[in-house]
Amino acid sequence: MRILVLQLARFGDIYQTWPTLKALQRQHPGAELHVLVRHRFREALNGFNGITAHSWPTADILEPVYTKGDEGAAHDLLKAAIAPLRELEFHKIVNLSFSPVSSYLADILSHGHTETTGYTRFEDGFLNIPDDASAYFFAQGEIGRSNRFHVTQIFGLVAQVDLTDEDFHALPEKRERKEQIVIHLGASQSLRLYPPDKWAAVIREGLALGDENWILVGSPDERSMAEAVASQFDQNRVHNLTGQTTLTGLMQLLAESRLFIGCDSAPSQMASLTQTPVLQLSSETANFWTTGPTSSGSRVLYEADLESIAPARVAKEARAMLDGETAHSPCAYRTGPLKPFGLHELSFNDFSWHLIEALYTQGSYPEAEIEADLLGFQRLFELSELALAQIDNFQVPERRKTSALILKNIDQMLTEISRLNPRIDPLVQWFETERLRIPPGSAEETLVRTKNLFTDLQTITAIYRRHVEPAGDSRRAIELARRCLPAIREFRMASVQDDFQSLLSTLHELSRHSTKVGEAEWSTMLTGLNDALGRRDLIEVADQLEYVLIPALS
Amino acid sequence: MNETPEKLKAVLERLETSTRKIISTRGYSKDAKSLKLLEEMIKEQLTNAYPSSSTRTIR
Repeated sequence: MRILVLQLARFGDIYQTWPTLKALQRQHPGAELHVLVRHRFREALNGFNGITAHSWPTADILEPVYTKGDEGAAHDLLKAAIAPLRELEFHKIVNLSFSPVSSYLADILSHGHTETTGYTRFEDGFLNIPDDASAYFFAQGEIGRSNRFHVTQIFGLVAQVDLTDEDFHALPEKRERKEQIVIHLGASQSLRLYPPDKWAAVIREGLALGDENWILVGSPDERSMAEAVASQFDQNRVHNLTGQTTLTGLMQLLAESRLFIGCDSAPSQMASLTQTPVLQLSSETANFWTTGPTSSGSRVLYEADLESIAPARVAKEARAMLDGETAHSPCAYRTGPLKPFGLHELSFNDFSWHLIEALYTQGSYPEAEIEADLLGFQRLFELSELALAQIDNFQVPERRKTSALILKNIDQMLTEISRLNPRIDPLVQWFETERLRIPPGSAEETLVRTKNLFTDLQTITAIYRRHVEPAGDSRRAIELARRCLPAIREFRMASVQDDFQSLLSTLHELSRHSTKVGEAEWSTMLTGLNDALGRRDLIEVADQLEYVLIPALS
Repeated sequence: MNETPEKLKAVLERLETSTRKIISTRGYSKDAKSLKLLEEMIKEQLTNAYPSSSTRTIR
């Protein structure tokens, strides 16, 4: 069996792939394991034994484009790079890079018999996400979303392997730890950088709190920043190795150190693979749940803004870790590579995460905590109901055009609802991703699949629908209308937006249970209100509420 | 001053036209696949000096 793992991201991501590679070797002992990474990041595979490493020559392929604007020559180079890989006729391709480039490459390198997991392409060229783990990442993995599964575990799932703690051990033998702390001042992105003067303050405080030596590491382009910091200290206690270590050398250095301190970057992932506890500084520009340290004993200091993390707090937490003490300040902590982060005096929005658990792991659906959640789900319910009606209308040729238009608007409204209330975004993302996964097929097949998905959306959102009590809802509608009226008459609609949305929601709910409201038809009443709203005629809206709706409901 | 992005954009535009033509006449063929791959490689250069991180989804 010949397996290809595609990892076209950067150093840190390649190191996060190591556990999956080890698990693949364990689960397929006789298989040839090939790994394709970008040429520039190939060094991150050094020290991993038993694989055939290939490098993807992006710079070489694009060289004619850069120098001569010659895409034809670039295309020839591309085909030449593909050919030897295609000749290997892989039985299995595991694409661990969630990018369009990797999806096309996975597709091109596939043969009829190849089993592919991770992003690839359908036969018509559209994005194909064949496995649930990759679909999960597509929907929930982006920074800013609510994912709490670690990327190493997601990689394992994409590769269909069961990870063990041992898979996170990069080095075969355990090394003796010296009284030293490794610190990386840089980060994978400038937004994730902690300022050099603050790093200097961390080191200053740290030196005063203990006897350990501090070793600065990093890439050659971080050398001047590291020199500026290191020059402030006694060189017997602070050694600057920035730009002087190979990645293999850095791995060994980390394995001999008691602690690593840094932001979200490749050395942090490497430290985790040497079982070195990591003290990571994190903010909302990174998602520590996804890419944070995995080694047991690691801690993450989190603030929305990285600069808000005081140097003294970092130094004291480092001391506490070295002394085996409990957390000194709010942090996330790790007790093992396969255990989720625990939280010490730290809290996040659990609602969205519990919603993800319910959608993907059969957890219970969380209780809606705020009115906006209930409203959001209610709107999604109404949209799915409307969409299902339009899908049924598709069977009637003369209604098809209008239905298509309405369905298009529904798509936009789904996105808008999730933008207005990001807490329910996981559900919208799940729905959109599952819709994207509908394979090419006949119009009828696509329609059936789309209908099934909207039915699923309706079933899920129905969980959050209020228990309908027509009398109670009528009273509620009257109360809301009376609350909104003065502001609407004074053209201050924005100030009662939430109440007005609740009113509309309640009216729609009432209309579902009866065709009449008082002597009037619900449809006439709602159309009149919608028309006035559409014209932005707020006086008419207020009149409708005061002289038509309230009397009819009373 | 910085002509590289302009050069890349011009190449990308030509590539997209050729790929569209190939797909409309021959479908998503072997050539169309590799042209699409090249297109995406150029788009990556335009959107980011570095390849995307695994943890940053590009759709």
